[in-house]
Amino acid sequence: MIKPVLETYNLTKTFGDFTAVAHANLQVQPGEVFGFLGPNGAGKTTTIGMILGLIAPSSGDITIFGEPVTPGHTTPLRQVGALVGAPALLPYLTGHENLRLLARLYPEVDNGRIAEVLQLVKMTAAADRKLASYSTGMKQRLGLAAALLHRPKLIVLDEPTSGLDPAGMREVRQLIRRLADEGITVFLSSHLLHEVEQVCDRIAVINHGKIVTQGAVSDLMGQSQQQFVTLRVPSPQNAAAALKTLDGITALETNGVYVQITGIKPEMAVAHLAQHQIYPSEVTTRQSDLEDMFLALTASGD
Amino acid sequence: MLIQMFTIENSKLTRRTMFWVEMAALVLTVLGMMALMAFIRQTLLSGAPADSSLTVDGINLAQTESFLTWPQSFSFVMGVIYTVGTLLTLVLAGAVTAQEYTWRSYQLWLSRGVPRWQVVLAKFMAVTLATFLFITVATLVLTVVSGIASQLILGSLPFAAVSWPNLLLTILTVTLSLLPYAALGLLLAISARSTVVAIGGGLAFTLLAEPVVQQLMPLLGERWAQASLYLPTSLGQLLNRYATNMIVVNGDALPTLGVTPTIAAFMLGVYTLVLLVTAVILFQRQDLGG
Repeated sequence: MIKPVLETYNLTKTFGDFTAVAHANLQVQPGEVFGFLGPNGAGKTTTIGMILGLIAPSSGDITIFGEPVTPGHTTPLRQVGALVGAPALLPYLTGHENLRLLARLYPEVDNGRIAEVLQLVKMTAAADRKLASYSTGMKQRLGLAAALLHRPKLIVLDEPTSGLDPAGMREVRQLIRRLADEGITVFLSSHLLHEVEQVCDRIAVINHGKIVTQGAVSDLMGQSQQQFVTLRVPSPQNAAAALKTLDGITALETNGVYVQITGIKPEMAVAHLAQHQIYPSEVTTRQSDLEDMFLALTASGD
Repeated sequence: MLIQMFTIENSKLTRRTMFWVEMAALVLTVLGMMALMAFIRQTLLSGAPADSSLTVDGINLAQTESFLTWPQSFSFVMGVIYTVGTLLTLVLAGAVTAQEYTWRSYQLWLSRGVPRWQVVLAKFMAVTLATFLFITVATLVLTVVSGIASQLILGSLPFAAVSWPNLLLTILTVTLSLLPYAALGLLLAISARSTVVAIGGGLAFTLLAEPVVQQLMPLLGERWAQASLYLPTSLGQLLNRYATNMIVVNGDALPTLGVTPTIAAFMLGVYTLVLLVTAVILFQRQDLGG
């Protein structure tokens, strides 16, 4: 059996009466890109803070490469690269100086490696400018370079594409996939579901501090696969009332002149409406995606 | 990893404008004191050169010249260096520690497996080295300027009147006297996570609380008067009086000033250690997410 690179067991964090993370069990396997999803305030950053030894868990365990991690024991983190939130670098130094300073922690990192990571994130030209003059996207790129500097075996990224333009976002996604292809494990927290769907092998969804699902993206999508049927009708209220009497409908909602349903085939819906003298002028269908699954999972706890 | 962190902290500190501003402030203080004495001497000389009883603010010509020249210039100015150094050390330690909460750069080191105690200790070591450099540079400037003054006033440089090893020892004792303030600045910054509170609290303690307590304690009786000698500022002043007195070759030996130099140095070390350990414990317990 392959040993997980990162594992949390019953990880819990409370702040007074508030439980930020409750009994979170995560398993990240070697070489995979693991997506960590959740709405704002769900407990993503607190979980990452505990994984990186920045926040003390109230209870539960974390192991990285099989070794426990706590704020008092962070040795396994030497093999981890992290970019959490806005990059934590020094504003009065240049990008290059920031990386050189960081490189002192790693004897194996030389000037060649610094140049290499700067090139990787397309920051070579701006490397000699003070960090204070960088845009958010440039800081994010440099933060990514800092995370990759010492060739870590596990990379923890919290919203790595935040502040990047669309081209930059695509580059980062490609970079993440490339890292995974090189055998590096990536733990990616993001609220961009499209991004997660594109790059992640497995995901976990956290809501109100609880892990509500975890598994391979394809498996989770397969489990929740359903067809959405959207009908444009002259009177959505009447159409909705008629469709409510139809067996098999699992969800129904109106939006302007549209009625959206799930659970039955479009031809059945059209035939049923026709019996009620309602004739849709437009019928569209689409398969559910990660966003639908995410919204279904995270809406239930609200 | 402690050595790496120390070199990192040291580079971070010396790259900051604040470091150079503080060093310049201390050097300017030394130059200002010497310029003031030179001005008083000039005033006395232009008034009545032959009248040795003439004084400005109670200082006569002989005293003024003694303050300007080796070896008394060291005794005179080292006390000022200690007083100003206290404030500069507090501000430096408070600012460099608290600002990193704002920049979130602690997360950078901690998420890479650097133990928390090493982050605090490395920062303290860097501030200590900076303090030592401040005192050394200020003493060098004082040596040069009062050397020039000695040549001009006395017509020669009285090398033999200065105990140079003891001057080096004084640099170390002044640095040691400032360590509790470096640790205090660090502790305040860690507990408040705010530059304003760290610096404001530190200055309030040094400029207000400690001097007031130092003045009031002797009024409460003999035992309290004795206890007041163990305040960090009293210990620092005592230690530096002993040390600067030893710079003068064949000078009058100081009587014991209530606390021996060894006890004073030991107590300053204890204060530093207690404050530093408290800072480390607080930092160990802090949540640094987000």
